[in-house]
Amino acid sequence: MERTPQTFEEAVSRLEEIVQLLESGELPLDETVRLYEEGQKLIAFCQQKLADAERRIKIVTLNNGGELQVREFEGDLP
Amino acid sequence: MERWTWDDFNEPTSDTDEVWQQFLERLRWEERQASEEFVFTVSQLNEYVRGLISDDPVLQGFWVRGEISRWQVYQSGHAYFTLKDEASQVTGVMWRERLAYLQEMPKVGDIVRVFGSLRVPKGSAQHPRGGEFQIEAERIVKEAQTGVWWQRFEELRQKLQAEGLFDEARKRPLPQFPRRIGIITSLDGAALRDMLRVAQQRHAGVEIVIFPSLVQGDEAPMALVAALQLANSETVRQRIGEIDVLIIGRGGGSMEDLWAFNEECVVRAVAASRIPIVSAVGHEVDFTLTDFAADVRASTPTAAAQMVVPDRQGWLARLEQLALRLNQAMRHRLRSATERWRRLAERRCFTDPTSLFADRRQLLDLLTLQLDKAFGRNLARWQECLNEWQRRLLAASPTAQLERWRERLGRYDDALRVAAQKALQRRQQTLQVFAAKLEALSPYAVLQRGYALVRDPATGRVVTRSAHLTKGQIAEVLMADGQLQVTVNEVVTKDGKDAANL
Repeated sequence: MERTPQTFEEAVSRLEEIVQLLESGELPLDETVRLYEEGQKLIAFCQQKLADAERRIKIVTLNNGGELQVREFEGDLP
Repeated sequence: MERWTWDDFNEPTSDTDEVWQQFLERLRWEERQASEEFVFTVSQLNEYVRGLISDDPVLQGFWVRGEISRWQVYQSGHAYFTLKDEASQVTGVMWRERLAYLQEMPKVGDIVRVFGSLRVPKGSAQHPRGGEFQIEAERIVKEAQTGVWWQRFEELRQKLQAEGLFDEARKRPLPQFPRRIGIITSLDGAALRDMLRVAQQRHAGVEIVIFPSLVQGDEAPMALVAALQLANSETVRQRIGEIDVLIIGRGGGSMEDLWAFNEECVVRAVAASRIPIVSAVGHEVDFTLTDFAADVRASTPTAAAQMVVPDRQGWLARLEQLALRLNQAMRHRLRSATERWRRLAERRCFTDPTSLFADRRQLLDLLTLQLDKAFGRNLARWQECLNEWQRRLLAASPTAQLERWRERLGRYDDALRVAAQKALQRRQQTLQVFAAKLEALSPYAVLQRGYALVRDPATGRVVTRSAHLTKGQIAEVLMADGQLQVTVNEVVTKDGKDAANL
């Protein structure tokens, strides 16, 4: 069943499954085409995940009152 | 070794290259043995090994831990020592320049960490040496209060192991592609910088959440436990999001420095972590109980980051590979489908579609034949009936009678015409007779014979009786050659009644 992948790992493992299914070469043509299209979508999904290069580093602490404090990491990376 | 035959290389397999290389090596091996062309001197052999060792990056700069079993400082000021553990030993040297930096001279029985490189000593004519290697020590660090620490470490290790805290079955696999990575370490340490640098290199887009903690000193154990609990907390899950994997660690240091990671509360908190956890405490040689409790032990913080942060380039390459395979499989499938269609199209039923129906056609013919036969018998009977009726109908046809009638009529017609002519002729003759008679009877003819005719001019009627005229009346007397107008003088009627005189 085709469904929207939730995570990168899910997408990759489904993609691998699809590639193996297709490589077995025993599926009906319309099924093959459907899987191929799903595979293309998964690849696009994964590439999009990898394309995201925005730096996101947070520092999370508790203050004296026990409340969550979140601040951005300001330091320079070597 | 088995002898290779060429048959082994006929089938191209993925191992072909490897097998080929093995084959070549075997050939060279046998060739060298046979030729005896090249023979090492002993020095050359040792020199070769020396080269190997001095070229190896691992052996040039490493830490090794062991117990000092020999410590001897020579006249020259250099120290020669032997390091051992339960099953093995290695010799080493520390040159006097380095020796000067030692804070405390080691003694036999000390557990030490030695940093140095491996070398193969070069001999001379006076002192032939070789065939052995030794450590050239840069630093020798005595494990502080070794005995006490080791004892505590060992006791706690055995206790927690008995509880099953370190069981292999408890170890969870790390996520292949974590979206959010938690790091528990000191904000000031080199470890954090190392990890962030590696993360930046591998996949800058990965989200990193730092839970700062003390990593050294009396307050470090509680701080580490608090950070572990915070990272695993529901609050963080809701406010920050699910942390997919945690790294807990710090940079290298003495056993005392790293001790917080051996505290029972910390080890238990690590074991209890809901989030898969990687320990990265100190250097390669440093082992803490946290390492045993974690799902995975990394030798250094850098190694931990390499383990955890997905390698963007690697994943891209893998994706590319998968995309390639996907396309190839699809192309292959399409090709085979096309091929199949082509083969199908070449089959008889398509090239000669009628053949598909041949059998059915034959059946149809057979059925038609039977049907015809069945109908045929009836048909013949019907045809016979029909013929009979037709014959009778023809026989009863009025045409012939009509013809006869017409013939008879023809005959009557002639007779009639003849008869009519005769009758006509007779009538004409009769008419002539009558006409002659009529002529004779005409008053005009009578007038010729001297008779006259009296006519009343008022009425135009012939006066046949004398009484019809009166005295003095004007009358017309018609004669053969003309007429007279006369006045009646006297009327004399014969028998006294109606005689009139003109």
